[in-house]
Amino acid sequence: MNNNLWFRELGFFNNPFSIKPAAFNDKIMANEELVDELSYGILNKGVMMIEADYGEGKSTVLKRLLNDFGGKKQVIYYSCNRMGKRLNVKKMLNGRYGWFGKMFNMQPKDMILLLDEAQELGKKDYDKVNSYFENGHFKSIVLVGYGFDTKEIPDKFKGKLKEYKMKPLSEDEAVQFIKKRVGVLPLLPDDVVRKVYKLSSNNVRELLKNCEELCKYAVNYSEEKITDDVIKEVLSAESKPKPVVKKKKVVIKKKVVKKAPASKKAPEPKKVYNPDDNKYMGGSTEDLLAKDTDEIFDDDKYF
Amino acid sequence: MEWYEEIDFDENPFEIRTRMVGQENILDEAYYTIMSGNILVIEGSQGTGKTKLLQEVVKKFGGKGRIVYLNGKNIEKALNIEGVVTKKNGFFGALFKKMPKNMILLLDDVEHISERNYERIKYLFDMNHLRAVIFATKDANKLNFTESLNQRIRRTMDIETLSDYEAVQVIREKLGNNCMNDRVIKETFHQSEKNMKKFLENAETVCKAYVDNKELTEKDVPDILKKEGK
Repeated sequence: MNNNLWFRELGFFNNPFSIKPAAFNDKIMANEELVDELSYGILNKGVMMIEADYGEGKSTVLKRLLNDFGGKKQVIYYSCNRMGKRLNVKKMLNGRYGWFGKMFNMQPKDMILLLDEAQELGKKDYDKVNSYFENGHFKSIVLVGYGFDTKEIPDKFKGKLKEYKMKPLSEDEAVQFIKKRVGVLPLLPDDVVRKVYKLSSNNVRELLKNCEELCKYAVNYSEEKITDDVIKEVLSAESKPKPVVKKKKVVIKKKVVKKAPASKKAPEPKKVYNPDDNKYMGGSTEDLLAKDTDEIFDDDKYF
Repeated sequence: MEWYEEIDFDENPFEIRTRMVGQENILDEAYYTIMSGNILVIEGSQGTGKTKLLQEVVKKFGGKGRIVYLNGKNIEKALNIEGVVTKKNGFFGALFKKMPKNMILLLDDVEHISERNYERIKYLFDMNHLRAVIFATKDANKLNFTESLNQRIRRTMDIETLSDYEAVQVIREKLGNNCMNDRVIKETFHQSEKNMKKFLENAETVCKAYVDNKELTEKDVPDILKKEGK
């Protein structure tokens, strides 16, 4: 099996078209300016949000930031799809000091928070993050995700937010991107990459998948170059993933029980002092006389 | 004296694990998926050999503490896949949440996995804690993959039922060439409606009958199976 792997035959040890974010290097092709702006924002105590479609390189950007600022125990990177019901910010902060941090609840200041898949956050999570931010535990926050529910973001937090969008790669950049992965491969000339990128509807992840299929086919059938026929054969034969109907977030509306308009109440009779109504004592005077004082005055009732 | 001892076997040949026959393309695909680091979904109805296929994968890549094999029947809804993966590093790994790298996750016979767990699988895959993932299921549509995971799936493959020739090969792999003739085996395969589990059970019954009557023909097979109530 090992000998038949196409990428081993081309001289690569691992699959060069791996779809994992920042699989081999964290070089960013199209959004270098965005990274600069984010870095500037991080240094200047900003709260930033990036929204982009699947496979446009959100996680790659975060990994790049992680590599740039990481190493000084200053960055918290967390993917929100791992969390349980709520984001545990306290645990993340304690984590910096390891076991002792948890024991003595040590919370560092001026941390950088990078949250991936932040569309999962709820209103309470935002509030929590905001309060830690205001207390100076977080120097800056970067939220990354797709399909944010703006209703969930509280106004306090919205005021600080700066939103960024990601640019899709141009054709030339896609070619550069593939070259970065495989070098100059005679099997995969530039014009083929351009064509495949178009066929992949300008999605980088699809491009990588398709390039993998093409190279696999070409090596297995010992084709010298990937021609139009090969592209047609491979990409049409490839079973395309069934389109998933995007699930709309079901917002469960709390049922508001409308109170029936209260009929006009009869005017309350004027209060006349009655010792039996004494709320602190609770009970008629005769009952109270039968009880011990300790029984009547619980701790709560003293105050 | 047991029936199999009469045809020179020490153990019941139908209980011995043998090489997988047929499905080479899916097996190749599964090996390739693991080597290249991808996600594969294998679809096939009951008794088509999904578990056998995953066992072959375990045989090939097992032994280095890299494989996590989960059977759908044992998966609870509240299961945290991240916890299962961290168990690799033993007690201290779980205590300090040390995450291993390059694990292979095989999910057999999965019918329900919570959305949260899909997202966890996605996270582990992205972070390279999981090198490759293989789902084996009866119906991939029922799994309701999240869209982000769906985009990472390289391929969904159907397991096809074996051909008659391959069915004969399966039995030859277990019994050798001198036992039962090919036509008897083919008839048994047809009687079992091409379901592998049923086929192996029926083949055992027919083989028992063969030990008593060496001149068994394919015409006798339906009667033998009827007698056994299968």
